[in-house]
Amino acid sequence: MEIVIEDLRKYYGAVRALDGVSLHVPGGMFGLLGPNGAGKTTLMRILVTLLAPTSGRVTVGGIDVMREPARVREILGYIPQEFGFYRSLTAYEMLDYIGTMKRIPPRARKRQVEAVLEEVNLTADAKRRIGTYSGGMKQRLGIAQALLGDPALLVVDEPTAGLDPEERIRFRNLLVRISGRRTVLLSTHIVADVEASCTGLAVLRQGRIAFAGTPEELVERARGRVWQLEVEPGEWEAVAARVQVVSSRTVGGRLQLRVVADENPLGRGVPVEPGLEDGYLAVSGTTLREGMLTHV
Amino acid sequence: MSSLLARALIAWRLELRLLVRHWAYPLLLAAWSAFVIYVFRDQAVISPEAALNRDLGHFSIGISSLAALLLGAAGAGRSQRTRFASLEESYPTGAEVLLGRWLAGVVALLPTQVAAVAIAGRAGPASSLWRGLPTFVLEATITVAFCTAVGWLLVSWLGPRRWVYPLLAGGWLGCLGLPVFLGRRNLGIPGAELLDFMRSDTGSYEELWGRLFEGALPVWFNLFYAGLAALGVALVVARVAARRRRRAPLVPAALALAALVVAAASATAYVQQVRAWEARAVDRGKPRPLPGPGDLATAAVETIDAWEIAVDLTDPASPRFDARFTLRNAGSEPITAATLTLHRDLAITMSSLPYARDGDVLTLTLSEPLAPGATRDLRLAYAGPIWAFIAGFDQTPYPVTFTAADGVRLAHSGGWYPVPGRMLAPPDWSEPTHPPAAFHLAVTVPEGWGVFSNLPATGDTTFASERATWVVLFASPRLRTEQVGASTIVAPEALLPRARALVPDYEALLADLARYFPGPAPKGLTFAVLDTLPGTAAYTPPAGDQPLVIMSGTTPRDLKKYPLNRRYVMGDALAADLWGLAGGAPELPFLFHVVQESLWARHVAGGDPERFRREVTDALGGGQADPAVVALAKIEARRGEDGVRQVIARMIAEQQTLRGLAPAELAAWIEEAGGAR
Repeated sequence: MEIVIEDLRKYYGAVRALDGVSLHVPGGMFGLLGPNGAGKTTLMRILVTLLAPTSGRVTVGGIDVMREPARVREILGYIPQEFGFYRSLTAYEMLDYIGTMKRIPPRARKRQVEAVLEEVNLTADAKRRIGTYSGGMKQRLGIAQALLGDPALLVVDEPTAGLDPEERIRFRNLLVRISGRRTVLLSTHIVADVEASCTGLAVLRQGRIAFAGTPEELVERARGRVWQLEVEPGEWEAVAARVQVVSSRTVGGRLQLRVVADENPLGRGVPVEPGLEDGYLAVSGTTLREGMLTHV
Repeated sequence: MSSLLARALIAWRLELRLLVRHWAYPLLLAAWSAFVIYVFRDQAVISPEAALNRDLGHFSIGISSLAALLLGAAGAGRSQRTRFASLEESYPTGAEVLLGRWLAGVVALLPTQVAAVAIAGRAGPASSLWRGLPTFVLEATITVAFCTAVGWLLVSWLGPRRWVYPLLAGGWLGCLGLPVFLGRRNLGIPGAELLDFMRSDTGSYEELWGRLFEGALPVWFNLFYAGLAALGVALVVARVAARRRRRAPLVPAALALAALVVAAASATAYVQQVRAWEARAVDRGKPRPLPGPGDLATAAVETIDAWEIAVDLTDPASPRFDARFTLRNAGSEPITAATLTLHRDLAITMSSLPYARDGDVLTLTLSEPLAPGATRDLRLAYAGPIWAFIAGFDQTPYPVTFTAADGVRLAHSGGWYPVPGRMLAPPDWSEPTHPPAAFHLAVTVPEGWGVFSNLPATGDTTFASERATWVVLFASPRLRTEQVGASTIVAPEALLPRARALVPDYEALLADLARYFPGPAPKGLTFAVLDTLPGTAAYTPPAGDQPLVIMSGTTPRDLKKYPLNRRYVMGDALAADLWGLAGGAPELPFLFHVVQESLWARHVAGGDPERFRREVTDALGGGQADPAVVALAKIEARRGEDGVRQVIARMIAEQQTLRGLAPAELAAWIEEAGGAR
């Protein structure tokens, strides 16, 4: 299912949460990367009809989100960044209720509820009260509710925030498994989540699209700009001020840094093969410098 | 079942489940029920219907309104509190979920009325409970629906903030006094009681009439709050729909407008009725010069010796009267016109003489002068609804005479039959209406209706007396007449058991008191338990050869617990009628008072001489005694009940010569008459 976003703007007074976003999501699993406050959640909430934009146009499968929000909701599964359920209900009861709200006929509802519980591996705990669930189980229940009604579009906002590494990996794998023939829009600030699952992605920075393309294209943006070098601990501050440090570790009392920079930093960096995280920083770093120059 | 309805039902069911399975819910029910039971633990309940329509029911609904405000707010904020809102709003649902959830809040609160229903039900009979229950449940539902809608509306606008709850509770407390502050006794805004959404007013229910004399006020009141409840919900729906559908919420807005129109129209109708009644109550009840007792015979030169009135109540709201009466010139000069009083609302359809009307005053032009002492038979037919009001202590207008589809109350001074002279009495005046005269009354009522008149019954619906000084006519589908031994009881169906239980007590007291009066002791009495409105003469002359006791419908059930009530409605009432049956004149109260005091003291003492002495010597309170009562006690001490009977017989025989005696002189007379001197 194709998503087309044209010159989308959302202003909160003087704050520009989204500032002329245009994006084409052809389908498949698509990642939306960006730091906190970039406007990802605002974009998601507009997509799922919870929020009205200031201007611009969004269509999902040809349906105008602003004009026909009710139709969009019929083909939508949504997992917000923060959500909860009625704690006194069991997972089965909660899903059964949500199934009704999603207009699933009674017979199909029972079958679907059992299927999604199985899908997210909650069948054994289906009769337990949600109040007794762990954070990971609640996230999986969130996926289960989103899958009800077999939606053509799944919008997932920061799903792994707050999960431990094991839960995060399990959750990511689950997303890949269920993506199948659907369009999954995954918003996150964790590059590894996108790297592991998405066929396309966009980077959002300060309410604007900094990059849109495939993960490979994003990696290419960093090619020739990723360096590894060793510095004395006292040099770290000076280096970090001039280049973007991707990672650092201590080796034999010295710091081994991986940095993104247009030129060899300090003249002693060794060029290395770029990754998606480097590409992300390269893109966002460019944007950052451009932004600073504009202000100057 | 459509998908829409299914979603509403499922949302309703889930919300109801969340509410009733919450740990606080049973606590809320227990606390509310305990409060109702505690407040009404010692209060007498007249009948289940009365209890539900008056204090108990209104109190229960009133305190539930607070719970409804809070629970409405809690229900409205649940999705946001549990962070389910963002999921919920992404589902393809509409207003049906909101409506289902709001309705669940309303239903969840209805069990708060169970305690009131249980207390009312204990008063029995079941028929009364079933009759009162639908209205009670409907009114409780309307109040709860309104308050829940207010809670929803507030949280929808302000969000689920903690301070919403104290705000609602504070608002509820503030509204407690609002109708009083704005009402008749303060700012005087007509219809301010309409703001009393918690129904803190005790209501005007009467067992005999139900809520008949509230007129259409309850209908407008309920419609007003039903409209406001619908308005509140429609506004919430409109707001949600506008946000979720991104277009003008035309249907919810139209519904909100319709609800607003219903509420506004109801409020207008309510205020209009209050104003109309107030205007009539002031008009009919303003102070007028009242004739004193005994002045009636001379208040007019014309008098009526006999009435024969047929009342057709087939259409109770607009009765038809056919009055034949004998007019006599009681003056010393011939008269060419007779001045009578007939209620202005009654339209004359036939008159045997030409007439002119000026308000309640009816002037008949005689075809030839009527000589002093001469009589003339006349006929007058009239018809129409008749309503007369008085202003209550809080200036609330109450109809004391009315003709309605559910009951007819023709009070003795209501002007429903032509009375000689200008009847100066306002409708609540409790003295007799006219000089003694023959009165024959025949009533036609719808099937199943009961009829009561203060006149002795000569058939199921016919009454007659040769010395009637006032006549009332009550007719109601609730009124029942029953023979209990030698006594006749007349009461609303629900009060019959209570009246029946009192008869042996009355008969025993009657036998006890009758020994002291000359003549044969009456066999039984006519005992009516009616309503709490004025409109019957305070002094109720005997019905034929039986004492007539008319008791208020709210008189305490167990009179033994309330000595003053017992004395007033039993001792004084019977003694007065025994005095009358023996020939004593009602207009000589100072004479009768002596007998009354003495006999009651004796009855209370129950054969204990010391207590009898105490009762007599402290008859006026503070150790003060009436010397005449002391004198009568002396007679009893010396000569027993024969001596007292002899004194009372002489007192009645010589009553006119005793007029004007001072207490000490009367005491001396009693001692002399009883042979104590």
